[in-house]
Parts: sequence; C-alpha cells; structure tokens
Amino acid sequence: MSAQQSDQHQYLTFMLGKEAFALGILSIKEILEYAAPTEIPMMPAFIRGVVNLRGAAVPVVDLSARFNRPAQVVTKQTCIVIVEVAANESRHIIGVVVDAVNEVLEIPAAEIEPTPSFGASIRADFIEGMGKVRGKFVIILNASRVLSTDDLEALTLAAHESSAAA
Amino acid sequence: MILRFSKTHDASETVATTPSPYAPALPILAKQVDTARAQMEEAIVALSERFAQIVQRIDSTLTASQSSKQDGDLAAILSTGKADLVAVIGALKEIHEARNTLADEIRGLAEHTEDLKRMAADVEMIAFQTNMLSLNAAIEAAHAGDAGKGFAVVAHEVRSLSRASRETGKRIAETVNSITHTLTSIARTNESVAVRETQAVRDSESRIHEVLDRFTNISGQLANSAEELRADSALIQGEIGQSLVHLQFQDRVGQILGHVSSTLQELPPLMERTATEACAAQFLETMARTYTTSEQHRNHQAAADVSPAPSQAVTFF
Amino acid sequence: MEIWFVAKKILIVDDSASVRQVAGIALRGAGYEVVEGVNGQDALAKLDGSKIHLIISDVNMPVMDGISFLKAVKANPAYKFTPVIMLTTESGEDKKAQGRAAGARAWIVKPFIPQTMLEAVSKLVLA
Repeated sequence: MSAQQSDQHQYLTFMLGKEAFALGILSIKEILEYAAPTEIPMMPAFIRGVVNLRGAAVPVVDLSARFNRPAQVVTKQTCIVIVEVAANESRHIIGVVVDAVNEVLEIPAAEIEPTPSFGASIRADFIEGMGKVRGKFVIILNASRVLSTDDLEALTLAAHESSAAA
Repeated sequence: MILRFSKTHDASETVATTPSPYAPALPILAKQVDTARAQMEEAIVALSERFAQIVQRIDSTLTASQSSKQDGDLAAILSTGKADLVAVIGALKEIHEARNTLADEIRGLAEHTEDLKRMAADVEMIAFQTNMLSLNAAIEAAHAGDAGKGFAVVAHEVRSLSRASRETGKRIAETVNSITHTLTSIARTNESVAVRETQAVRDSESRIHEVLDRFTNISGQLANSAEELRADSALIQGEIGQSLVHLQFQDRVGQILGHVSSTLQELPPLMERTATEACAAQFLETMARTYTTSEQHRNHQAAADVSPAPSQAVTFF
Repeated sequence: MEIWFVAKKILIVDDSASVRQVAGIALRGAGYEVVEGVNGQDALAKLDGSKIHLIISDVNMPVMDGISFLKAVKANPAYKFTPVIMLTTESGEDKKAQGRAAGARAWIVKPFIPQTMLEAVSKLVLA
C-alpha cells in the first residue's frame, strides 16, 4: 500500500456529546483550542461566527446545530477543527467546533461498515461509513457533504429571510 | 488535809467567870478562823465561776470544731476539690490539644487540596495541549506523506505521553475529590467538636467556680473557726491560770487553821492555871512568831482584813 | 535513730498537796518533768543522784523545814549548783535574808501566779 493510500485511512476521531465521530485526516488542516468566535449578525445558529487564523477570518460551524441537535456547551476540552473542503473549483477553510478531540488513528477499509439504513440520528448523506475502533463504532463523516458550501449558503440565505420577516 | 480540832472548853464561859489574861487571844484566834473561812469561801466561789467558764469555753470550742466537721472531713474536701480541678484542667487541656491538632490537620489538608487542585488543572492543561500538539503533528505528518513518517512516530510518542498525563490528571482529580469528601466530613466533625468543646469549657468553668466557691466558703469558715479557737484557747489558758492561783487557798487556809488549831489546844490548860498578864503577853508573842502568813500578822495587829494579793514579783537573790 | 526530747526535771517540795498539785500543773504544762517531796527529809531522799535541773521549796514544813533542806542541798556536791527557788507564804525580810544566806536563788510569795513562777523557773533552770 502506498503512503498516500495509508494516509487515506487515517482519521481524526472526536466527540460530539457522547457520540464519537471521525473525519479523514486529509481534510483536516489543524486543530485549535477553542476561542470564542467573533459573532456575525444575522447568521443561522449553526454558524458561531469567525475566528482569526493567522490573519484570515475563518467561519466556525457548530456541528451539533448542523445536525439539528441542541447547541454545544463550551468546555475546556472544546476545540475547533480547521477543515478544508473542496467545492466546485475552490477550496474553503471552515472551522468546526467539537466537544473533544480524541486521536488520530488508522481505520483500515476492512473495518469500515456501510452506513446503516436506519437508526442513525443524522442525515445519511453526511455519513461516509461506520468505522470499527476497538470494538466500538465511530461515525465517519463526509466533510464535503457536512460542510457543503451550497448548503451553507442556502441556509444562510434562509436565515436572513426568516430574520427579515420577523 | 484533815484539820484536827481537839475538844476544847468553851472559852467564852471561862471569860464570863474569870477574865483570863489569855482572853485577848481569843478574838484574834476567832478572827484568824474567820479569815480562813472567808478566804475559803471566796476562793471556792471564784473557782466555781472559773471552772464554769472554762467548761463553757471548751464546749463552744468543741462545737465550733465540730461544725466545721459537718461540712465533711477537710482533707477529703481538699483532696476532692483538688482532684476535681486537676481532672477539669486535664480535660480542658486534652480538648484544647485535640482541637489544635485537628485544626492543624485540616489546615494542612486544605493546603494540599489547593495544591493538588492546581496540579490537576495543570496536568489537565498539559495533557490537552500535548494532545493537540500530537494531533496537529499527526495531521502534518499525514499531509507530508513519507517524509512525515518519522514525524508521525514522534507524534505517536507524544500522544501516548499525553494520554499518560491525562490518566495522571484523572487520578489526581479523583484523589482531590476523596480528600474534599474527607475534609467535608472532618469539618462537620470539627463543628460538632467545637460545639461539644464550648459546652465542656462552660461546664468546666462552672465547676471551677463551684470548687473555688466551696474553697472560699470553707477557708472563710476555717479562718473564723481558727480565730475563735485561738481566742477561746487564749481565754481558757487565762481561766486556768487564774484557777491555779485560787487553788492555792487551801494551803494558806490550812496553815492558818493549823496554827489556830494548835493554839487552841494550848490554851485551855494555860487558862486553867492562874496566869499573869505577862504570861499572856508572852503567849501572844509566841503565837505571833508562829505566823507564816501576812494576814495572820494583820489580824494580830487588828489591822484591816485584806485578802492577800498574789505576788506579782519574784525576789531574785 | 530516734531522738527523744529529754524534759528538764524539777523537784517541788511542799507539805501542802494543793500547792504541789498546782505547781505540778503549771510546770508540766510548760514541759517540765516534776518530782514531789512532802517535806525536806522526803525531798533529800528523792535526790538520788539523778540530775535535777531546779528545786522549788516551801519554807514551813514539818520534819525538816525549807531553810534546813536548802542548806543540806547546797552541802551535797551533786546538787551544789542546782538552783533553788523558795516558794512560801512568808514575806518578811528577815526570812528572805535567811533564804538568801542559805543559798536560795529566788523568793516567791504565795499565792503565786503560775506565769510568774514559770518565768522565774525558765530564768534559773539549769541548761
């Protein structure tokens, strides 16, 4: 197996509430300690605001809100995972708030099971598969779907309209 | 002492019939006897009075000493009171020391707890940051491909380190928790101890006051009794001293009556014989020479009858 | 080792029982040991060689009077230096002079005040 391939099998596992998720490491740029983002007015709930990353303003997404769950409570373990997603021909840098980061580990393809057709609490298209780690399952997220800019834009627009109407 | 009076003729009869030259002796003799009688009576009266007073004083002294006995044997009271005080003081000391020890322990533990808390927080922070570091390193390594493999190994090591420190942090946190629990229970115990101790202090205070009051009372009583006893004792001594003077009357009286007795024995035969004035005068003179006491002399001279005053001075040679 | 307090011995000579009794009370009360004689002769017999620290004697006694007794005591080498106090009803100066001549150290006229007698005794008693 080539290095590239093995790298493809590396994931960052993290927690949202009590559930364990994972993101492919190639889409992750870095992990930051949580700093309160600067709020942008009239943004939907799942957008916390922007953080300054070496001069650039990076939007920060509340993943729980994205999954229609109650908003995350910030603790000292809360981190912002800086993710790079490809959309159309451009690459977007987005920060994702996670409750805790666990580790970087390898999940071989053999250990990844297909998305269950029922029982998953989030949109099926967000999930890439179920990775088996030490007997337990982690939800491997599809970063580009979860942080699809189209969706984000649509949502933002909808938020604007709803607040304008209010 | 037995006074022997031999049977005598009634001297007054003889005088009525024949005025004897010895007649002047009789009034003198009578006077001597009277003096003796008077002295005896005076002495007996005085003595009775003295003895009565002595008895009364001894009685009241006994009563005084007995009343202090009613409060219990003094030695027993003293030793009980002392034992009480010693016990109380001992108990107070113990409580005080225990309190201090407890307070010190709590203080010590509290300090440790703060330290431990800080340490735990520090460790946690370090663990977190180390983890972040290792994760970021892993990410870099992943992006770097082959070149990053060595980096990945280091990242791995760092991660295990961070895991270990996280474990330590957890253990510390647990220890801190258990200590906090202990402290809480100690604090609660200390509270109840403080309450009990305050009560004990109050109790012992009142006990000490009680004992002290008892002492003051008794020592006051003792002081009074001692004073009375001393005063009484002095008075009794005085009474006895006086009595010893009066008791000497028997000696004088004896002497006087003795002389009278022997003179009276000599007289009748003399008076039966014819006697001249000169003989009588001679007799009187002889009689006077036998006197041993000053009152006999005074009676002889028909001087005022005065009881002898006890001699105040000794003549030293 | 026990130390016994040896009381001083005083010989009281008087034919009157009450005088002996009273003097005895006063002397024993003051801590002296008391030996009694009823007259001069009896008293001399009591001087058996044991130490007498002081003699108190009456003057007028039967068998042997006080002055004669006093002279006999002074003639005895064992008791030559024993102080003698005459205790008597006699107060005449000539009698006193007799006593002094015979070797008496003091003259007390009866009735005596116990305290006075004890003071004289303590002043004269042999050490």
